[in-house]
Amino acid sequence: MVDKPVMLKVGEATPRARTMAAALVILYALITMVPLVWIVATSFKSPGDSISYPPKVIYDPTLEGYVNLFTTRSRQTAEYIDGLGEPTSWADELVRKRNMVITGPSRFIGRFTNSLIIGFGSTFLAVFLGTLAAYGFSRFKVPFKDDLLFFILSTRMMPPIAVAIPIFLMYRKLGLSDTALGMILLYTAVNVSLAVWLLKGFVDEIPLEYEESARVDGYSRLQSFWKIVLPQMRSGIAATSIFCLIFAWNEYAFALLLTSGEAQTAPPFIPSIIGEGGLDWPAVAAGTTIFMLPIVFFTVLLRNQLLRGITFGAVRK
Amino acid sequence: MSEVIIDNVCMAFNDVQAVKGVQLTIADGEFVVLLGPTGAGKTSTLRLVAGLEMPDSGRVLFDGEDVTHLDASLRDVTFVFQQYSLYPHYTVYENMSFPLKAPGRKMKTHDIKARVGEIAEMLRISHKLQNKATELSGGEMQRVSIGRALVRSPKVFLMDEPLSSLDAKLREDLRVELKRIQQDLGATILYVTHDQLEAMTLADRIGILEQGELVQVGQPQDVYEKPWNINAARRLGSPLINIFDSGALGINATTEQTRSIGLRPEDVVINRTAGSAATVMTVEHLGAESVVLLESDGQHIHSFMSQDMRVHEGDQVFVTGNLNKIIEFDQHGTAVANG
Ligand SMILES: Nc1ncnc2c1ncn2[C@@H]1O[C@H](COP(=O)(O)OP(=O)(O)OP(=O)(O)O)[C@@H](O)[C@H]1O
Ligand SMILES: [Mg+2]
Repeated sequence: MVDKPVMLKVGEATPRARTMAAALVILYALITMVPLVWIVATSFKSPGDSISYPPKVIYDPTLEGYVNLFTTRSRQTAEYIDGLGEPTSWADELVRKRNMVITGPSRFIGRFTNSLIIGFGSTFLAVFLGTLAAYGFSRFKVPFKDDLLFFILSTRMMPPIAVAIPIFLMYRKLGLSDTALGMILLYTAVNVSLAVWLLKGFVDEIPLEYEESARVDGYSRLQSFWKIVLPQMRSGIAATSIFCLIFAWNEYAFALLLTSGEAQTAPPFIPSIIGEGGLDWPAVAAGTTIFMLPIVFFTVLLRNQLLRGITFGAVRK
Repeated sequence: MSEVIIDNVCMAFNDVQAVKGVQLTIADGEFVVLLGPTGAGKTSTLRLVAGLEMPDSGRVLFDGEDVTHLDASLRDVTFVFQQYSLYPHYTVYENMSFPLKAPGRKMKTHDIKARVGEIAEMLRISHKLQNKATELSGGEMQRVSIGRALVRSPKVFLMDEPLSSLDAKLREDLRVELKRIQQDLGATILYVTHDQLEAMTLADRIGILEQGELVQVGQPQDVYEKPWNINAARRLGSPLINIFDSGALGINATTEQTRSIGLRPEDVVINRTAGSAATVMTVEHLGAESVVLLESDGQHIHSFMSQDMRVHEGDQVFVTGNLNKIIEFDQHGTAVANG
């Protein structure tokens, strides 16, 4: 058989190249998905199944991990449990089978809320400051512009943990240790450099004529920024926000060092969930699964903006 | 509408002197067209008047009031940009109503609608009002940006090659329309173009810019007949003015300083009997007229073919010049006053 000739637009891949690219992407997706799928699967296993060897792929799903994640329990004698009467909920029933009773909620919800406050708070601040700085660097004559931009970038070059001890001491003196405000400020400081650089690229791409036209039309600089520049930065802001959020959301080292009680975030909390006789893997997996959801949610929500954002205009029409 | 005075304005971008001491008064209701080669400082001059650039020295006055340091948003001018200026996230309607919705103008929605509708009608884009600004052809975009300027009645209209990407028919229609609007409104317009036909037909006065300097200002016919130098002579007229050495076509210099002689194609007469011998190189038929390229004494000369004298490539003919119309230039290319 002879292949039909195919009409291609400039820059368009041949069908074979596209199939190969698709296969590669799918393969890559599968490889990255394996650990995630394993975590989600583990979260529905019983503690026994979770550590069985060889690992179980087929098992009886149970919500025990989730119940353990959200509650604290204590071990009781069978007689005591029998004397309690009917279980008050399905969760209660599940726990009693293991000779335990629920004694109260765990601290997971509090830690998760901390993560939300700190993650979104620092992302908002970093993107807000980053947008203003990026606009300023892009549009105004700033003395030592290049040096300043390099300086901002350089804060990103050293591993943050290198300054852990000074920050630890500083935070203790300032009373910022174990506070949400302290963590928000810290993550903002780390993220703002990324935000400035990414967003500056986006502002640079918006032709100056739009704003000039708006100003001639009778709008002040601030009004034309608000009406003209900001709407065109949307995909850039979405992409930058996701990057900042992912960093703040996943950050482990500083969270472990600087928070232990009130302001502790989910990452240091989750691995500290101890069941009887060691780590309660299904509960840890359940915590991890829930922890992943907000990022997944926002990435899916902003996927179109994100695609345009991270290809830096290449997909833009 | 207002009188605009550009008073001895200079402006540099780093080491490029974009505007050098430009002095120009645009009377209330006058249509002034700036012509000049690319990079001459035409756009820069408009931007100075709009307040988008600050002059290094000199002043800009509207009706005698010094606005040199007034912010662009407070000058009450409109600007049709050379490129990119439709707001891509807005529809055509939103683009055209944008200037009317500016804070401080406080126009009623009803009036805005009526005004935009009227201008859209005139520019024949009514059916596109709900399109996104990015979903338009180049010519439609340009009409929208003209429309966005016309919805207002500002102190001065600044237009930077507003008709450059339209087809010939639309360009001609809009040219006529623009002239009519200008006369109806008594609008003051400063207009940049490369199209000499636009310049000749629209302008009350033409200004020739060259490397940031305004070398000549005058009525179209005056600039055409009495250009200040060779470059100004070449700005107007199509085909370009013929420039040749003294002695060619039997035309001799009348002054000491003369180094070259200019003669417009319509002043070169082709005949079969007398004058300098010439060979017809090419004949271009442009419809109503035909342009003939001749060679005489090693000089290339353009002329028009007359009704009663048809010529063909390779013909041997004679040419004479209309001696009343010759323009003489000295060694710097400046026209010699032949008095
Ligand atoms: N933003 C800028 N930065 C530096 N130099 C500039 C800038 N804008 C213009 N110039 C320079 O100033 C000079 C005048 O430019 P201008 O845009 O006024 O030319 P123009 O007459 O409008 O040309 P064109 O017909 O190509 O539009 C040119 O030499 C140009 O390179
Ligand atoms: Mg220009």
